[in-house]
Amino acid sequence: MPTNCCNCASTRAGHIANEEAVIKVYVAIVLGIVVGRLLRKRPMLFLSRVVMAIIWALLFILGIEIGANPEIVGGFGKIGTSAFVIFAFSTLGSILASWLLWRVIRKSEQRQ
Amino acid sequence: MKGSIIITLFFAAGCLVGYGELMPFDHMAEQASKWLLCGLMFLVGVSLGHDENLLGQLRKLNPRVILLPVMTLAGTLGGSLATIFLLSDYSASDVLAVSSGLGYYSLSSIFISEFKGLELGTIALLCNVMREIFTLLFAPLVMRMFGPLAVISIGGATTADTTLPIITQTAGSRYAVVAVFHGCLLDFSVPFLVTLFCSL
Repeated sequence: MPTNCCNCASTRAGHIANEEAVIKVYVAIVLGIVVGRLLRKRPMLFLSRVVMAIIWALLFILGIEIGANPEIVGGFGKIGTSAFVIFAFSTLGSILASWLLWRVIRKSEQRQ
Repeated sequence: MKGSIIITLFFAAGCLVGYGELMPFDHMAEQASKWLLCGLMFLVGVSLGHDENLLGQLRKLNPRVILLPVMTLAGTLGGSLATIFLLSDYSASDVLAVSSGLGYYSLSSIFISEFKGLELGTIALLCNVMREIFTLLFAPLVMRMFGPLAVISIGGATTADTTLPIITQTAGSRYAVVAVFHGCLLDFSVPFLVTLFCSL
């Protein structure tokens, strides 16, 4: 039976070797800012549509990565529940903390 | 709302395709996603550079937003500590190690698998993948309910790269700088935090 098991191993190795990819990403964003400055006079209404399309493609690929990973799919019992509980509480905590900061900032701005 | 539904559908379709082995997640898919990410960042850069009002808007930002990474970290760790009453199998240092991944799932799961075993490592992977996916899917809802800072905060360490485009689209481009600052700072902190809580 042809398995895709090497996937998870190669993905992990890929993530470790991600430093280089991260640098490429930052180079891309700086290049983009320069190009955007140069094209300032031209309207670019299509931009947000292209951005959205790429986000769709990336999420589709992320879905493939997750669906094909037996560790994640098989782990949706006890492990998945624990992960969900920690995720839910820690994310809720960060939402409340940042909301507090947002309210403090808004109040100080209203006073001015 | 329509945007979130379409995003969810693409993600769900990907999961099904991956699970059904209709398309392998191989070297090519990995390369494709890396190039797409670079292209995405390039376009985000273009829209930032293209925005003539951006500098003026940046000056209007309250300097207190610098505190946001601290709030994100405090809220995340505080919230996760509450779970030790629900999850009897795990200690406080276990849940703190998992949550201090801040969405940076690849790195935190590798560290935790190494130091605390595969089970907690898998929990870290799942928990932090959930955080990233939640940010991608629910950013508009969080924006409406809790404002732009919360949109950045939920992204954790990912706000300088993978979740930056969605943050720029929902919170507005003037918050992109806050998101990059927030993401970079937390990104650097994750290895230190995770190892710290693993050694406790």
